[in-house]
Order: sequence, then structure tokens, then C-alpha cells
Amino acid sequence: MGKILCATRGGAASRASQDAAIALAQERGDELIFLYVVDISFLNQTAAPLVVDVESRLEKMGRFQLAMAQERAAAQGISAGALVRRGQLRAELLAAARETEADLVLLGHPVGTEAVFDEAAIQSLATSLARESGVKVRVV
Amino acid sequence: MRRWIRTWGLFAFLLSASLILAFASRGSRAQEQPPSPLVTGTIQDSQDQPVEGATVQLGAEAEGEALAEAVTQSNGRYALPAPQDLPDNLFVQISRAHFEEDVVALSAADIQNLRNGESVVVGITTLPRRITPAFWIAALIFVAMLVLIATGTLHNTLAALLGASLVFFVSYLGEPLMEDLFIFGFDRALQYVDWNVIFLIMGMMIVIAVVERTGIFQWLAYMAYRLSGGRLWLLLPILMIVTGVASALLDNVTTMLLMTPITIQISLALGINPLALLMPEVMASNVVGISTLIGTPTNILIGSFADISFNDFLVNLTPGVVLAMIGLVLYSEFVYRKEILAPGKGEISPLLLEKLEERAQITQPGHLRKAAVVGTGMILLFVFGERIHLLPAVTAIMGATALLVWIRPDIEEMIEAVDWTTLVFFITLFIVVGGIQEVGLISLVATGIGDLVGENLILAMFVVTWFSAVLSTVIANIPFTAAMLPVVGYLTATIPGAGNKVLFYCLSVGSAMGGNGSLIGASANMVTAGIAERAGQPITYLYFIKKGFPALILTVALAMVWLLIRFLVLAG
Amino acid sequence: MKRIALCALAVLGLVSLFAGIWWLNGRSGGGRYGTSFFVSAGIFVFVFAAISLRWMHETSAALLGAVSVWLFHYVAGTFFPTFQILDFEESMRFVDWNVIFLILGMMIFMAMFSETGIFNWLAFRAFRLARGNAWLLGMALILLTGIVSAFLNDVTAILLLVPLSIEIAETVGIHPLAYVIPEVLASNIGGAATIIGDPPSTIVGSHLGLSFVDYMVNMVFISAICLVVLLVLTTGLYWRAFSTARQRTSPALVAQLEADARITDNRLLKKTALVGLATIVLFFVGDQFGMPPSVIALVGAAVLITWVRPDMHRMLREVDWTTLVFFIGIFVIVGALEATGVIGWIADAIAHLAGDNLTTATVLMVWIPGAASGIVANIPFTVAALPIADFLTASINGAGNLVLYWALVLGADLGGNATYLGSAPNIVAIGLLAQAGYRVSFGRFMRDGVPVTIVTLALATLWLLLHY
Repeated sequence: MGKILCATRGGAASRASQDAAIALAQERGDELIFLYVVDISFLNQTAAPLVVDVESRLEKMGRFQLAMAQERAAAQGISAGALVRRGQLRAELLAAARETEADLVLLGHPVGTEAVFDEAAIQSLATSLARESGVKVRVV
Repeated sequence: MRRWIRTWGLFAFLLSASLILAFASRGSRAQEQPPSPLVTGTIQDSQDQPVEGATVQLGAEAEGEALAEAVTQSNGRYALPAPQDLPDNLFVQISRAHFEEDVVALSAADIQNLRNGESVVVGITTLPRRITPAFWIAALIFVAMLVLIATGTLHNTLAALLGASLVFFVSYLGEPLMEDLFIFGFDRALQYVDWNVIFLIMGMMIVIAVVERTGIFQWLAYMAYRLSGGRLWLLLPILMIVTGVASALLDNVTTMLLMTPITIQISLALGINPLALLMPEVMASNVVGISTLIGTPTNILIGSFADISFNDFLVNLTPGVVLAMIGLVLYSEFVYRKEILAPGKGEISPLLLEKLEERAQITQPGHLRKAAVVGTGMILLFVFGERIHLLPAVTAIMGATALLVWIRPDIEEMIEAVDWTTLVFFITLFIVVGGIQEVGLISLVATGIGDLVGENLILAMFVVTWFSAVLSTVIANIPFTAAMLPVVGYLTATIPGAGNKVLFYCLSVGSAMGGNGSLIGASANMVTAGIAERAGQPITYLYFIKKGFPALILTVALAMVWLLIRFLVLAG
Repeated sequence: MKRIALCALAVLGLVSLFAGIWWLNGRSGGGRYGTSFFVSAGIFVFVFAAISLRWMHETSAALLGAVSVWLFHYVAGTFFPTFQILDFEESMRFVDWNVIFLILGMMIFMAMFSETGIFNWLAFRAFRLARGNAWLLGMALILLTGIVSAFLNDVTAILLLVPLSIEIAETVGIHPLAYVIPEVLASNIGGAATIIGDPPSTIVGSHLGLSFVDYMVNMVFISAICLVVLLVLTTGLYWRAFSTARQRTSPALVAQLEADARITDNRLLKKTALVGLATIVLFFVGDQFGMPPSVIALVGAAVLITWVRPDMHRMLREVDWTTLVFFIGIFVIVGALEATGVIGWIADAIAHLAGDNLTTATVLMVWIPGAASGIVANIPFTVAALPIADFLTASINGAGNLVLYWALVLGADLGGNATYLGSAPNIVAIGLLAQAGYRVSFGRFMRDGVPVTIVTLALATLWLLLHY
């Protein structure tokens, strides 16, 4: 029995990849873990006063997103795990893949107009991730 | 997409703005009014210092409606425009918080001159001070703040912040109840804040934060160890000199922040008590710091108040500092003879040495090169900038900006590295001290000291030096120096022969070296104690007094000798 | 390649501006403007471009500008007197310390308030009260954001409320954009209502020496109207989304939502609320005694620190000093513009354009900043526009009621809604949405932003003309 790590953000765009991950886990009988990465580097774009603890607030939001994904998995009879990490997306993805000893990392295809990444960015992320961690990475 | 829109949007905006403006600005300009005749004069307090911010009104009767109104400038001058048709009697009424009111009548000849369109000079008016309830309140707030700081009940910054808040609170909310409760308003308070100090510290701290990451400071300390070859009696002076030179160029606190961790490392590796190295270091930083303008916060204060340049400090104080430093080294060797001369100490295992060497690596050689270029430029500007009236604050900010733009570190992180707590402390402290200056407490003390020393320069030198040295051990030396500056300024103006600013150097020596007398005497002491405590080597208040107070007497006496030679013998 | 094109464009812009000025200089008799005139104008344009195009961090750009002013003054100015701009002490006089200390004091309050979790709790109450009615809930959240951002800085309001709004939207099964984008627009509108609402309001209010109450009396009404209009527009724009929303989540998720929206520190909340209330009261009372808002904010902050958490170091670390340094830099650069006469020259031109007609001047003062702040950084713009407003107020008859300043505030605040680069809250909210997996394209934001901006600006113009 293997482990599948599915990186997700939530929102309509990533619902498809969550579904794909759930289906895959069902089919292979693997353990499924959803991963959310809190990355606040976007705040560096402005000199506006940032006095709020944004990271912990966003971590709560991440947990909520993951809880939604977990519920969808539960509806399919899969009990999925959830993991929230803080930091830069690529580095944290890599670290999470190592720590959980996952043997498959799933990334979502960009769907529709609302996806945060475009196709090329996802593909290059996937290849570099596969090279560095030695784990299979699939874009679904 | 976003970038594209930004770029073109900005471009279009600028282009259209410049075109519209270019077409539109062919307009006519308003005609300037012909100058009306002026009534001018100067207002001084009883010590011949100009009085700023006094309201001057021109009226037809002593208590009548004002025909013209003006506020005095920082040099005490005012200029009232006279109206077209003048009555037969004219009075100039002067009012200012904390002073008696005064009315000056213009003579008939003056009024005739004004009618003829000629200006009239009233001359100097002297306003006597008035002791109001505001005087006592401001003094009380100041003393309460000092007590809170000295006893450590509240954090320094918080105590000063509360003090400043209270001053404003009383000024604004007390005034409607009783006019004499008014101390000063926000705008006036800000004039007492020396922004040169604030921005100098801010700029230097950003520079240090960038430079620190290159690992150069650790490397220097390691080299100091290598140079001494494990001989402790040699290592001690080397470390003291390194600390001293660093603190002459940098802020004392920063120097000690950098030196303390590496010193603790070295002493643990050598198996000696870290305090045997730390105490002499921190005392050296307090002593040598005064040889340059930027070496200690008190010098920055004194320099910007009395207009003493980087070079003046260097030339006038360095020999005295060297003298005091020699005394301090001998004293330290004597006091810590057990630790550093004991046999078997100073041996070091190769493993530890390797570890030490590893820690002292220069981590970012590229950044170090850039920092070296900027740093050299800054030192050149510090030394030569005075020729073009370049303030140290501007140089420090220039250096900081150059590093921020050139090296491009994370700016949020660099700005975080600035010790804002200290800066807020300075700003609020300036406001509270400004309060007691405003109500006239300082001039009262000045009059007291002035009466005490008379016109005897040598007595004044002794009084200023020892008075400030001893007081600096009880209260933090920054507020004390800020409070003493106007006093010394007054003495300099009144005592014959003191025009060469000798008393300011006495104050510099006294307040900085006085910091050695107790743990709370200087912020560098407290910083060092804080780090040492985290490393399991607390420095207690009593321990510091025991080791520090004799050093204070020794160093101040030696520096005093030099000052007497320099300003009495050499000045001939 | 792109970089080169960018630089070329910037150079072109600079050259065209300089050429324009030069040409004009030749026509208007010449010799009136020294070299320092062009140098300070060039520095301002460079900083403006650097901030708007994100060449470097805003604070670095502002510092660089201020330092260049001093460098020219001290180094070049020593050898060529025409290079003298203004020295350090003079430039400190141009810094509006009232703004700096007001923002400093408010930051300390914000740091405390945001730790209590009170606003999230309020948002969750709204969720409970709406009982799954997506439209009602949306209106409540938008109003809440508007009101909160009137009393806190608008970016803080967004950072506090948007993450929870996304969770709530997902719980009631509506697209989060339907809540978040109107909330952002509301925060910009609400920011105009009080002197502490957002940076342009603070800068203008403090420049005029207005008290909290003076400012509020003038601006609260129009802000409230704009907020109501926003509610109507939102209902129209998102009607389909509101009517088709249905709850799809389980009670477990709602429970988690509730847990996220808990009040985290009850004691802190009580103390902060008490001091906050006292400060607001002092804002109203202190006004009678001529106490500047910055002093009140500082007194409040000092009391709060002493009472709640006497850990000065930690407290001051939570203040965002980068912003304060940025403001100081901008003040110095604009001070240089003022000292060298650039501002006077521009004001002259605008006065001529308006032809001494107050109505035209007011319309210009609303729509120029309004249109500009959609694309360029609105803080340097506002600071630079203030002395222009001074000049116009002095030279045009009947402008003594400060109508031009109100026009400037409304223009700069409401105009920021047009594009998502228009103001800091927009950028932050887009970033937060991306964190939840919703990308908002430039066009998508404009679909909502532009109509709202045009309608609110038109309303503002109408109101200003009628009322003053």
C-alpha cells in the first residue's frame, strides 16, 4: 500500500484534481494525503502596513480547504489525511514529499480561467520536483 | 499583462500630464504686493538666548484688537507688517507660555516713520521667565520617568513613551481648566527632537544588519585569537582594542552585540570565565567610543548640538582616550590576573579550534566587497563631509540606501533589524526633556551651576566632568546628556575662555566613561549583560559596580589630565 | 528584452517631460527655473516610475529618491549653487510627523485588535444570522468590511476579513469572488470616511490640521452613500450567483468555521476594546481642546502597551516600520519639489486650465486623481497633489471651504477601485484569493471595479458640487 500526496489549494479549479486523486486512491487502495502550502510572499509587493499575523490566519483557511477536500474523499469512502505547511511552494512541496515518504505526488492541471498556475509552470514544477525528490509526479 | 498595463498607463499618464501642463502654463502670474513697512525686533530670555514661538501683536491700545500678528523665529526675531492707516498710539504686545507678558510702546517718531513707509526696529526685548504649575508638572514627569528607568520597573522606552504621553495629555486637556498647565503642543515638541540622531542610528543599524551577514566581524575576532596565539594576557588587550576601534566607528551597542557571542565562544573554548574578557571589552567600548562623533550616542547628541565635527572629536579626544585606554588595559590585567595568568589556561583542543574557525568564515564574499566599497565611501563622507556641511545622518542613510539598492537584501528584514525600541525611546525622551527645557527648568539648573562655578574655567571643567560621570552611573547617560547640553551651552557662552567648546568635551568624557560605573549606566552594558545571561553567565548589578567603578575613576582622571593639557597648556 | 523595453520607455517618458518643461521654459522668458528644478522633477518621476512599475521595493525607491535629493544638494550643490535643493533640516520640516505618529499609534492598536479575533467573530455572527441566505450574508459582510476599514487601516481590514469570507462563501456554496471583490471595493470606500481609514485620508486630513471629528463630519455622509450604492451594484452584478447559491457543506465544516472564528483572547479583547473606546471618545473630546489626532493615538497606544502587555520589544516589532520609512521618504521628495518650485509651476498650470472656475477645478480634482490612482501609486500622488490643492484653494474664489481637498481624498480613495493595482487592499486581496485557488484576472477585477468607480466618482462629484 502506497501513499499519494495531493497538493491543492481549494477553489473550483482544483476540485477536478482532488476528484482525480480520490479516484486514484480508491483504485490503487493507497493512502491519500492532501497538502496545502501557505505562501505569503505576495505581500512583499506592497509597502502597506502589515501588522496582522497573516500566516496563522491563512493556515486556518488552508485547514478549512483541506477539510472540504477530506469530506469529499469521505463521501467516496476514503479517509484522507491533511497537511498544512508554511513557506515557499516548491521547497515545501519537496520537503513534504520526503517527510511523508509519498510515492506519488499529484498536481492539478490548470482548469478554466481561474487556475492560479498556467500549464507550462505546472509542468516545469512537476519535472523539477520529480528530479529532485525521486518521487513520481503526475499532473492530473 | 499587468506589467504592460502599468508601464503604458504610467507612460501615457506622464506624457499627457506634461503635454497638458506645457499648454496650460502660459498663464499670467499674480502681481506681487508692494512690501509694506515692517516693525521688527528680537526677543530674548534672561540668559540672552533667543525665544522662539512667542506671539507678537501690533495694537492701537495696550489690550486692544491686533492690527498685525507674528510669531518669533528660532533666532528670536519677528517682523510685523504695518497696516495702511495707522492710529496715533501703537503698542507691541508680546506673549509666550512660561514667560511674563510684555508691552512695548512705539514712539511718535517711529509711527511717523511707518507712515512714511519706512521700517522700524524695536530692538531687543527681554522676557523674564515665569514659574507656572506647568513647570512643576514637567519636572515631576521627568523625575518620575528617570525613577522608573533607574529602578527598571518599566521598560525604558515604555517609561519615556508614557512620560511623553502625559506631557501632551496635561498640555491639551489641562489647558482649558487652567491656562498655566499648558506645557507645549505637538508641533513645538517635535522641534526638540533631534532628527539627525534618529536617522543616523537608523541608517547605521541598516548598514550593520547588511554587513553582519557577511561574517566579517566573527572573522576579525577569530583573527584576534590567532594573533595572540593563545596567550591570554595578550589576547585581552587585542580584544579590547578590536572592540574599542569598532566602537569608535560603530554604535557601542552594535559593537557589543557583535563581540559578545564570539567572545563567549572563545572563552568557553579556552576554559576561562567569559566575564574576564567581556567586562574589559564593554568598558573599552564605552571609553574608546568617545573618540569619534559616531562612536557613542552621547557624542552624536553633543556633536549635533554644539556643532562639533567628526574631526574635532578625533583630534581633541583621541590622545586622552589612548591614555585612558592604557590605564584600563593595565587595570583589567590586574583585576583579572587570576583568570588570565593562571597556568594551564589558554590550551585549546584542535577540534574546538576547527569549530571556531568554521564559525568565523566569511559567508558572502560578494556582499562583503560591495559593503567594503560602501563602507569606505561612508567613512570618507563622515570625515570629509563636514566641509560641505553634510550631516552624519545623511551619510548614514546614503550608505544604507546604497546597500539596500545594490545588494538587494529583503528590505523588510533589514528594517526589522533596526532597533526601533531604542529609536522610539530617543524620540519620546527628546520630547520629555524638551518639556523641561520649555518650562525653564534647564535654565534654572544652568543658572545654579553657573553661580556655582562663577567664571572659573578650571572649576567648571572639573564640575562638568565629574558631575556628569557620577550622575551617568545612576541614570542612563542619554537623557542626562540631553538635559546637560543646554546647561553646558550656557556655560560655554558665559565663561571666558570656554569658547573652544572644552566643556562639551568634558561632558562627552564624563557621560560616556561614566557609563562604566554601573550596569545601567550605558545601554551597551545592558545589552552585553543580556546576552551573557542567555549564555549562562549573568552579570549582576553589584558585580558590575565592583569591577566598573574603580575603572571609571581611573579612566575619567586620565582623560581629565589630557583635557587640562590640551585646552589649558597647549592652547596657551 | 522586456527589461530593456521598459527602461527605454521610462527614459522616453523622462525625456518627454524634460523636453516639455524645457520648451516651456524657453517660452516663458526662461531663467526662472534653475537646474535644481529639473533635478528634483526628475527624481520624483524616477521614484514614481520605480514604485508604479515595481523596479524595486517601494521603501527602497522612496529612500533612494530622498538620498538623491540630499546627494545633489550637498555634493553637487557645494560646487554649483544652482544644484541646491534643500538640506536635511529643511526636509525634516516637510515631513508631516502627524501622519507618521498617527499611523504608528494606529498600528499598535491594529496589532492588538487583530490578535483578539473579534472581526472574524462578527463575520461568523453575520453568517449565523443570515441562515444561509447568500444575498443577505453578502450585504452584511460588505457592510462590515466598509465599517471596519473606516476605523482600521484598509489593508488590515482586508487581511482580517477576506480569508474567513472565502471560507464562508465556500460554506454557503457561492463563488468567493462574489463576496471578496465587493468587500475590497467597500474597504476603499470606507477608508475615505475617517482620518484613520487609509493613507490618502490621513495625509490630507493631517495636512489640513483637521481633527477626527472635523474630518468625519465632512466625509462620512458621502462614504455611506457610496457604500449603499456599492451594495446595490453588487446585488445587480452578482444577482445570478446570489440566487443560485445553496449550502453544500456538512455540519462538521460549519463547526470548523466556527472554531476558526472564535475570539482568541477574551481578556485582551476586553482591555483593547476599553482602551480603543476611550481613544475614540478622546478623538471626539480632544478635538475640543485642539489635540491633534496623532497625539491621541500615541496616548492611547502608550496606555494600551502599559496595561495589556508591557513587552515593548515585541510590541514595536509588530509595527510595520517599512511603511513609515516609505512615508518619510516620499515627504522628503515632495518637499524637494515644493522647494524648487515644481509644485507651484504645476499648480499654476492647473489653475490656468481651470480658469479660476471652482466647479471645473473641483471636477478636475476628483477625476484626475481618480483616473490616475487606477494605474499609478496613489500615495506619492496624493502627497504631491496636496500643495497643488493649497495653491488652488488660495487662488480661486470660494474654495475656502476646502472643497478641493475633499475632492482629492475622494478621487484618490474611490479611484483606487478601478483596477486591481489601484490600491494596496486590492493587491492583498487578490493574493489572498490566489492562496485559496481563485485567480482574478485584470479584466475580471475591472468588470466589477470600473462600474463601481465611475458611479461612485460621479456621485462624489455631484455631492461636492451640491454641498459646497
